[in-house]
Amino acid sequence: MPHIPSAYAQSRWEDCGMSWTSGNTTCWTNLTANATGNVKGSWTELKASTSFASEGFWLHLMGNTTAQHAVDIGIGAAGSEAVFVADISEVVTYANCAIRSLFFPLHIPAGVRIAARNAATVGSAVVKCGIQILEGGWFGMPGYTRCDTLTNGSNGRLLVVDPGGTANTKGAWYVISSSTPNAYGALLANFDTGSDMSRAATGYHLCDIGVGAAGAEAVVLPDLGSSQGTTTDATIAHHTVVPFECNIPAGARVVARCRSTITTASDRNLGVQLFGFY
Amino acid sequence: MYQIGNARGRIERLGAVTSSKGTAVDPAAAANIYGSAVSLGTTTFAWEAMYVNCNGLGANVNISLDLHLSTSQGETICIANGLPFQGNRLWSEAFQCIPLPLHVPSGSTIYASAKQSGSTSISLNTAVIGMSRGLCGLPGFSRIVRLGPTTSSSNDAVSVAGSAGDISGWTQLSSSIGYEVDGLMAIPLNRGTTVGSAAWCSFQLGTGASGSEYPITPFFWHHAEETNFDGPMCNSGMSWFPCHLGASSELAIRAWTSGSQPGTLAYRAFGAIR
Repeated sequence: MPHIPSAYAQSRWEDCGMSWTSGNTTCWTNLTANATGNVKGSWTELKASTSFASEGFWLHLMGNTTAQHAVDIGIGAAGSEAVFVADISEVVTYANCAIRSLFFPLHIPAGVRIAARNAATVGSAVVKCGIQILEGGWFGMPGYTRCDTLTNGSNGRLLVVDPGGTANTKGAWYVISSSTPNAYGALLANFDTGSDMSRAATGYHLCDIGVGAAGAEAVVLPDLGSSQGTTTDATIAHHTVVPFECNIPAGARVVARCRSTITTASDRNLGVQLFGFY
Repeated sequence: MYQIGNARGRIERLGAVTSSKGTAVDPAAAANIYGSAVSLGTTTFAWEAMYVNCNGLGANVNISLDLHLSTSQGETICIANGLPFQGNRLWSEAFQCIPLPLHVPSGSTIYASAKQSGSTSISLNTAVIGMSRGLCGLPGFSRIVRLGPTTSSSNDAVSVAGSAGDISGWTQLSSSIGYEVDGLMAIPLNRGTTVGSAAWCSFQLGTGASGSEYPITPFFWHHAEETNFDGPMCNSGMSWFPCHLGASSELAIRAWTSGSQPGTLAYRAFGAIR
């Protein structure tokens, strides 16, 4: 079997904006969106200074206010934050239910201040946020330097992909990026309900991520599954909690298509967002 | 399948794409008895990681899913007794996808079998997505093993008592795990009750002699929802953490919960073996 590096025998972690202490029932940081819909709120500090360099982090988001949220993670001194990961979509359809944990294999130096901010379709909406940085990343694998958010949706949120009205049949390709700004070594997919906040049908989806010119698309990530229900109205997808390693060249046209058991218009739609790492 | 260059990027899915779901893996219609092993398909290249994707139960039961590989070298159990999936009455909202940093040789046929805590006829729709390059480039481990107590029951798990906003004491999973492992994962299974209020929870794994445990992983956050779900439907706790433990090491778990209910949480722990 292939050699596995041994450098990861034990690694440190650090909670940023999260606190697990006895007597504390609010273990995360609330991010309050701007009072104006779809406008980013103020930066909220998650960590004043990271204690060590890390090669990846878990981002945890949990719904509080029913709305479509777009969260930025930033690094830098107060008042000088630079967006590190942009517009991470969290569609909250059922308060305290829409929990989302994504692993970002990104290098963060020691001594860095980490902050986050939020925009939402509902003014002053709140989403709960926390980060856990891991010194050794994913089993000691080195982190990427940057990542781009690919969405092509309105207000930085999810691209709505319609599978069409025929059950269990792949629909048309939708363009997530007409030309990727960088070459990527890994892709992380983030699925949600798209723009439909009230699901009236229960069912399953399978989504392909592809690359290529119109009419010549090739599937990169096949049949990533998700499901949805009418109680939470949420699309539940954990297929990409950790990114897939796949080479995507700069300038590539990246697309998505899906199939669904649901044929009802709008209810059958799937929201798709990608993060490309380089 | 798409590949640019040769270094990485081959990805394939096994498990029939039936009605936009996976292959039906049926436990026996009796508690704690495995159903027949079902082939998900044969790998066309070597995998260094996979996602196991399951959904669809339609019954409030707990499932244990095992995976077997059949190769020209014989059959290997890669997951035994087993990956937990909790069903609840909301069949489409019981959806799990578990990342496994596991090496699977090219040409392996992957079989799945399951047992359940109930006795109704149900199907667990199962698919696996394999990657020629492991998650974050990590080469796959040779085996994933269950750590801690196992019984014939599909419900077997360790319950961790908790109260609102407090970190529980340590509950020992094993006084000697029996394997040298280089990674740990725990999966929340259920809350031990079918009635409760919404709560969010987290857990942490530790080692050390009973009474002298110390943490070796972060707290991993997950969610235990109210009566609509009766379980931790959002398992962000399915989080591998690099950690070397010798075969004689102890393994323990403790938990935190935001609410007075649930007062009991159940988990299963797994280790990765080189």
